[in-house]
Amino acid sequence: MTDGKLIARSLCGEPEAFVEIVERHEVAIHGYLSRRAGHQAADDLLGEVWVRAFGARRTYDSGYDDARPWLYGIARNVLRAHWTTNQPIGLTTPEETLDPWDEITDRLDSAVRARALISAVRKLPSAERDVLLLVAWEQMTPAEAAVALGIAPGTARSRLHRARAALRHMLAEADANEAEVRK
Amino acid sequence: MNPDREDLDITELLSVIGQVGPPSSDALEDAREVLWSAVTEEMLSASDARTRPAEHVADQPQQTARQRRPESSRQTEQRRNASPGA
Repeated sequence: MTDGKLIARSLCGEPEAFVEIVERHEVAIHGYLSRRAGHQAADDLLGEVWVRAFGARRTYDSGYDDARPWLYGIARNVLRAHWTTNQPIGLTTPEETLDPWDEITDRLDSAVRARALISAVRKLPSAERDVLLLVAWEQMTPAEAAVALGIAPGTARSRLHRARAALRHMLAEADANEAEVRK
Repeated sequence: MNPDREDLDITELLSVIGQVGPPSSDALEDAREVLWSAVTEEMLSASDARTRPAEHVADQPQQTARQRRPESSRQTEQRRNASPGA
């Protein structure tokens, strides 16, 4: 049974049918939260995502069989609220300060290269970064990322294109700087 | 310039830095428990609306809702109730 049909059932006297949606996508959504906010925050926020999704299921477009993009959109909103609530005093970009970039660097062998990439990703406008990371990390198509972010598919594609171009440019610059230092 | 970088697949490199460990079963279970609270609340509200004229059976829907929860979910609640300071 598709996600769309399960959600429809959950609206017709079987709200518990929604639990199957959760069981299908909980690992993916936890992974998304974990990548964007850290493992502990993911543990804390996952339940909030399910409650919000359950409460908003009437807005689900039953034309979509797969609820994953819709759930990512809700998870994204939960993350935004989390970043706003946890904004440290005096810092204007809570997302940047709270994203688990240090955890990521620790995981990688090639720390120098990782730092260059992470630095480049952090410099992207958040709208472009959101699309890029949904595609790169969550294996979504640009069209699915568009659903998750509530934007037009063409907008998602152009943001993705700009993000990739900017990353290539910034990484090339980092390479050039590194080569200069080694001279 | 590093020639390899020319062919860099940004998406592939990002997928490497995006790897995270799997969630613990407790974390997933706790999140499902939060959802079950909302589901149960809705079931109770719906049942309550249907049975409002018959006040004498008001506790019947609650039993039904709880019986429909999976065993694992009930075990989580029991675990919480049994833990010190709960």
